[in-house]
Amino acid sequence: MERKVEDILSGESPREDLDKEVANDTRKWGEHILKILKLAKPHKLSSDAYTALWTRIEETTKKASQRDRQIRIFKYSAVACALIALSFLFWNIQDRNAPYDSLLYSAMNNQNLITEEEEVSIRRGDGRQTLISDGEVIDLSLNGRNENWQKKASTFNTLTVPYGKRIEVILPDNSKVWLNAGSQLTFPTVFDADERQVYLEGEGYFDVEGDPKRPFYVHTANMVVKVLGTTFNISSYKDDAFASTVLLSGEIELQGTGETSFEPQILKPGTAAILRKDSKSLSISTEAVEDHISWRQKQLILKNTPLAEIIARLERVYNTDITVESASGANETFSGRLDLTQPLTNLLTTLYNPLEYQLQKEERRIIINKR
Amino acid sequence: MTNHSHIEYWQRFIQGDQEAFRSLYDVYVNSLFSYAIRYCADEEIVKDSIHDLFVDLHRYRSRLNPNVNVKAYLFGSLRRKVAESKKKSINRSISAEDYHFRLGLATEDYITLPDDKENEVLTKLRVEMEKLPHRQKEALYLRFTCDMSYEQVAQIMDISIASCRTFIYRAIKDLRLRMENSKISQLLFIAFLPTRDISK
Repeated sequence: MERKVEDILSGESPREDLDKEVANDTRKWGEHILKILKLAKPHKLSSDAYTALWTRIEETTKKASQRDRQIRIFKYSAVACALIALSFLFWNIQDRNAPYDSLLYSAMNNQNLITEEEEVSIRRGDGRQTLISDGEVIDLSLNGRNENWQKKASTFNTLTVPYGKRIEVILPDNSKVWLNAGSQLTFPTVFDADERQVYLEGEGYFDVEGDPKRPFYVHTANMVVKVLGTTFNISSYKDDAFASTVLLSGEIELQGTGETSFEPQILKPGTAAILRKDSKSLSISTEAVEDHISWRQKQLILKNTPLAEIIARLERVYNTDITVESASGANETFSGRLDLTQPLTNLLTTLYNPLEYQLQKEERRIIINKR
Repeated sequence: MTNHSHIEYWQRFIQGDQEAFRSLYDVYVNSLFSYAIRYCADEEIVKDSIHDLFVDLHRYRSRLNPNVNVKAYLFGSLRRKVAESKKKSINRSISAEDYHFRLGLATEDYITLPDDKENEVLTKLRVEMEKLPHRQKEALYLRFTCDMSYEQVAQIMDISIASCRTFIYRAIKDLRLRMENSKISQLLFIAFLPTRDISK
């Protein structure tokens, strides 16, 4: 019985079935179809494309497995973070330190701005940043016009004053702060009902609005100043060997933080507390209180001030790198008054005798050589 | 290379053997490309899909079945990938273009046989084969060009084995009818000298 070619080819083994096929016509048919399909042109990849495709696959898989590993690490760290966050949460329920933690966190996050920014700027909690033009008083008080500042209660603002600038700011509670060059103040948009906390890096002169029910805390790297309503100056520059707090009126309490620990110290008006960072020792002096705050009047009052300290101050105020090639004279001390409205070179020639020293001025850099 | 050693590559690859991964590429990439280019003429899409296929294999290898039919699995996965990227790249208005399969039996690719008469028949047959419905062509290609079993073809095309057999049966039957019709039209051609278009 003659079979149709479609039956044969749709069978389980068409090749063998065709060979058994007796009807020549059917067999020929099947052979033709099979031949055409068998000899269908294979579209091979060119050897370049072959290699390139493999290279691509290899690269992607490598990247992907790295990413997978990162995701895995990320998952673990996310769990760890959650645990830490939780423990902090429980801890803070007892300790009530939460506002300070987030304040510190904001302050640490923005520290790079001191060196990166050219202009005075405020970075808000949501990451938005506003530049502030020179000489403007920043009024962030509740009576101030900047109503939009107060909308988000729990965010922190960081005010950055780069080297060579100074700024005056009115905080939400009407306290005034003058910030010196190279300083940064972090503070909440709205202060808490029972305490006011700010973080200072650098130097600030504070005129705190009196409110006995809401103590004002200035946190710095080495100490905390608790204020009830007073005027004082804090200098806490990272690159200085000391940190100082000078009280002008009222009463403040000093506490050590971090690695610095000393007995809480109550400061009387007209006294200065100076912390030597190397020895972690706190000394109280009644001398030359006004010298510390002379920067506000654009003056630098010197009383046996070491030359190195003067140079460090001038560097910040003028935002200029001062390099003294000869080591001699570094321990020399100076007394007197430097007018900070003068050009820097003029000031330096009063410190370094032009007959003995040569001043070489470059862009933002002064090199002092012994002749 | 026997299929047996291919499953060995597959299993070694699943266990994390990077060399076996490369071997899988070497063994299958040309046949995969050859198949997919018939499905989608855009070489870049095909290469991208092969790339994605191998990257996915590597990424999810711990979840792969070690006792799978490797060739059918790869062909089927690639088919889906190409279909996905075709959907993305071609604007969706050309819905007729969504699925097509070109056998690629063009005459110039074909080895010329000495017998002129047989050659003529084969040329005619090739033309008729290309005119078959796309799914029938795909089934023919996988079954006979790639030498796959009905089970494999069914797995790749995501159809039952029964419909797979039906596709092949219909394709051959259609071909036979068309060829016989064209024989008649050729006779008519001699008798009435009509144009060749009638044969269509």
